[in-house]
Amino acid sequence: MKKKLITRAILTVLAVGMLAGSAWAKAAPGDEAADFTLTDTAGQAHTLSNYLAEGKTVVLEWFNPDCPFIVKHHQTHKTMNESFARVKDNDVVWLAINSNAEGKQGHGLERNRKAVKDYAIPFPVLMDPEGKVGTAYGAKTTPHMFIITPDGKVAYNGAIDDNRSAATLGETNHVLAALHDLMQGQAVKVAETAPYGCSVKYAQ
Amino acid sequence: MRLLLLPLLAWLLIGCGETPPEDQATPAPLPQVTFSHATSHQEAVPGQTLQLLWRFDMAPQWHLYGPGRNDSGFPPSVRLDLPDGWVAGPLQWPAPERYVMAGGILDHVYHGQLLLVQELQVPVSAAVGPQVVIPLQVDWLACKDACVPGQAKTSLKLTVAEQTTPSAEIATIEKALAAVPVPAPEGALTMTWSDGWVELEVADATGLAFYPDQDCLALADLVRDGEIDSGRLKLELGKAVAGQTRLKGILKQQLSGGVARHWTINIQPGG
Repeated sequence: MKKKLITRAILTVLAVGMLAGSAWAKAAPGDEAADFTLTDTAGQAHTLSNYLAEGKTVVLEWFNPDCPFIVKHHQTHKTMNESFARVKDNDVVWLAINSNAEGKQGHGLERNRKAVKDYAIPFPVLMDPEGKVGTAYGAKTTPHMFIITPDGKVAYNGAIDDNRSAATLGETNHVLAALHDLMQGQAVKVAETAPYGCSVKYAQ
Repeated sequence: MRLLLLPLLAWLLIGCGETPPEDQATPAPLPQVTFSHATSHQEAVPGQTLQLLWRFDMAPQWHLYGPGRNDSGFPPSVRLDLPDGWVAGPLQWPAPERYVMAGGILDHVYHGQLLLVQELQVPVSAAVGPQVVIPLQVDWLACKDACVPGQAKTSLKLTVAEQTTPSAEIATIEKALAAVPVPAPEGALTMTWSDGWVELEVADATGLAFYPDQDCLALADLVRDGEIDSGRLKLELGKAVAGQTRLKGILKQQLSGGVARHWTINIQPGG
């Protein structure tokens, strides 16, 4: 099993390399998730395939600390922190990723270190300034959410909830609903929604 | 594991809906967008309609979002707290511009000035004489390199009278209404449906672009397909989505002499 995971990881790492900066990819439900290694604001490296090999389900959250929609879910309402608290003991890893390019809103190690502190974020914020991982997943907005199951497949791609405003929360938290389905051994009922938020500020 | 599911399930059942406190201070209008409003007539006459003008003046390079399908942002909204019997129609939108960003992110936006018009029906029973005050709240998201939400809370003050005269803004309102896309004239647009594709053709156009409505059927790759320097535009259809069964949106046509024309489209596949 581990050998199979490593093989797949090598293949998908190659895929990220081919896609970055050129073609546009979309990680649709059922697709193989592209592997990546990124460093967080504390300098620690995180590799997706390592978490999957440990049997973890991984939530990816595209992040920009100065985007009003991130402020909505990290400061005004604490959606992300509270969601993580509800699932963290269920072999779920939550990784925020900032793919904004240098010079763009919310970019930079110091700004993101401050955001981790100010928002009391209990999970790593990974830096992807070249946008390679964001491009590989087709991340369009902050936030844009993905769930990867331990078999390396994308189980959910879309919005955190069903209210596209920058102030009011939705009635349904799609990520928690999907995780709930997975924890019960069921297929995810709503596996794809339209993400909303600020655009990810990729390099031109 | 099962025990841990309970709080999650309970939270899901309760719902995560939560609105900000009512007494939250209204943020001051932001400099990225200046909002103002006007009416087509100086008085409201019982049983008649008047036009409301919502004007958004944007700072250079900032944009607001159109009401159609976008990858990011949200369109301006106007919420009127109308007295009993008063009825407001839908917002009338001009055609937006196509706006493609790095990373294949596609939005449809406005730059410069956005003028929205909305019809207001005055009830026959409206009492002549007193002034009617209609509170309104406008919300928007303005973006450039960054995105900033904006809000205006104000009111519309209308005197109800038996007669009325046009306001100084009537020409602006007529101009805004003239910019609202109209349905494609009969026979002017040729559509050809084939397996997984639809081709749109306008004989006198030198360029075409398609801006889908939110409930338009799925299209595979609008960044690639959505615009062409030709009178024939071929769109690849995407995976079927429940509730999205028609090709709906705005077809922009570039004509000779630098003139643009905009039609609305609402057609069943194969139609």
